Amino acid sequence: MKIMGISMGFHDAAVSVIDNGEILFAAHTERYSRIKNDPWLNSDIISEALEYGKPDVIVLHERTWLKRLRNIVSRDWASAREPTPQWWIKNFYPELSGIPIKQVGHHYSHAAAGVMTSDMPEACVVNIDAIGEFDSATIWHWRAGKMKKLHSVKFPNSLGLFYSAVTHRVGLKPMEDEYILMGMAAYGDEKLAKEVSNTMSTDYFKTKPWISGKLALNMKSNVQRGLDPDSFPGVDDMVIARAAQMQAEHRIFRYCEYAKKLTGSDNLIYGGGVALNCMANTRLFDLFDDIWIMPNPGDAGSSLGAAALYYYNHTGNTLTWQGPYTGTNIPGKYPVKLAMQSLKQNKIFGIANGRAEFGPRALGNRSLMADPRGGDIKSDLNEIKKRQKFRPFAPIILEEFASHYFEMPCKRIPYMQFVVKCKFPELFPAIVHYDGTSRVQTVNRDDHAGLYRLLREFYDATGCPMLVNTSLNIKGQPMVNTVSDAADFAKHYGVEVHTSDV
Amino acid sequence: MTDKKQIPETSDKADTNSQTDSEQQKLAEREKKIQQRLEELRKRDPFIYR
Repeated sequence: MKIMGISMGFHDAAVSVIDNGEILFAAHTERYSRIKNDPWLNSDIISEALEYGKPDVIVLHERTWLKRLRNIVSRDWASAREPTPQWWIKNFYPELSGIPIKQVGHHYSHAAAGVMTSDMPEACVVNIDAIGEFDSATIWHWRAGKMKKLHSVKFPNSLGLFYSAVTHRVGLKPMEDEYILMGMAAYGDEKLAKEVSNTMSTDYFKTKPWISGKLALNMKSNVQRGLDPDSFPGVDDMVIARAAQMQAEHRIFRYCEYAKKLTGSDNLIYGGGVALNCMANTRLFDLFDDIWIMPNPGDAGSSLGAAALYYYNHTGNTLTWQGPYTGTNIPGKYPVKLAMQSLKQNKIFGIANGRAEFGPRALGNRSLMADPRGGDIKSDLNEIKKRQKFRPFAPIILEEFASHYFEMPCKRIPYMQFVVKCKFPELFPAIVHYDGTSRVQTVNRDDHAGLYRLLREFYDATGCPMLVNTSLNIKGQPMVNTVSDAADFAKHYGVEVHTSDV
Repeated sequence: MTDKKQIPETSDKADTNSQTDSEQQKLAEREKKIQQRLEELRKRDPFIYR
């Protein structure tokens, strides 16, 4: 059974195709339209998805009319009038005509995206996001092949919405720049941030997080129109960011603690856009022995969740997870030799090879890389990427060396879901944030054979088992997708991009 | 005879293909216009999340 999953109409649309449990294709529409976080579909991604065959069924990641009802309830008339995915498909893709279109619940798709890609036979499943149809957080128990919903938090109560509202308050773009707010948090004065955090707790939330885990995400008001622009007058944006991060971390922790109490499980499958907050994620190891966060836990990943759920409901089988490299293919041998030549010349270089990553993070196939040693790399990379100077870059490291260099809460972090303390920050300033942490990606041979080989060769030549890794994109644009995008990047920044070894 | 038959068939097919291409192009253009309009409407919207 060939199933196409579609998520669209919010902030980062995506299309996935699965066939008998195998993920044939999964990609973001932004990589094709070249519009960052593109909420709509386009004919290029549909054409590429159809190269894997015509689907028997299309599954949408949320219930359209339930979402419309929420729009109406919150008097969001503009959203209520936007075209539905069904209308979009019918009007623009005649090649999909006649294929039945099904829908599954927004949080059910999130839960399925996590459960169906994990190998856990039993787990507590938590999803936290801004808004689905009405749910903004849910707790499920995955046991004996069944997913049972145990608790939900309903709109306008929403931690994700609160975090987006603070993102908006500090002048960043909500639904897009939340990760920048998280990066800013490290620079906020701790004492001042605690005071602001207390005010946030009193002004926006119904209870203090330590009083009730069950009610930890419940709010006093709807912040869907943002915070009052006059809120926190005279307070530095970095302090506001840190305060919001403190609120997020406490409340996520308490809600997950409640989830653990409900399910009695030591395993956590965590999803929803809030699961991209890798600082908050690390704290959850104090509650759970094992945590699975799929590499695309936001709404884009739900295109896969929706398809997987339909497959599971009809066959009882989960997906065969083979990693996040499911997008457009740039054929050829992984450019280890060319990359090593660049490293020997101490050059920053790009790699665009193989299938593009499904998710917001570059994990080696659409990456800008460099030697992490020395003080200049961070400023050189910032110069190329033209981004805020406070933002750090991430390391990719051979899995077997990770615990030597970082305080790892678990053996492997293949998709950068957690931040960890670096044990030698003075040696690798480029990959360590202001608070001494790094957002590590560990690599073993099974995760990515080419990238593993590159790291091994670099280690053999230098004794250093890691590289700096950041996404290969021109500022303000989505990640490079095709060879032509890679050439544009090289031309724009004067940085070599290797597409394959001869 | 066969050759003669094949020529108009090929020509018909080419016509159909170019018709389909132009229809697809029209659809893609319309899709882009609607996307741009929706983007403009979203920018005016006071809601930060939908």
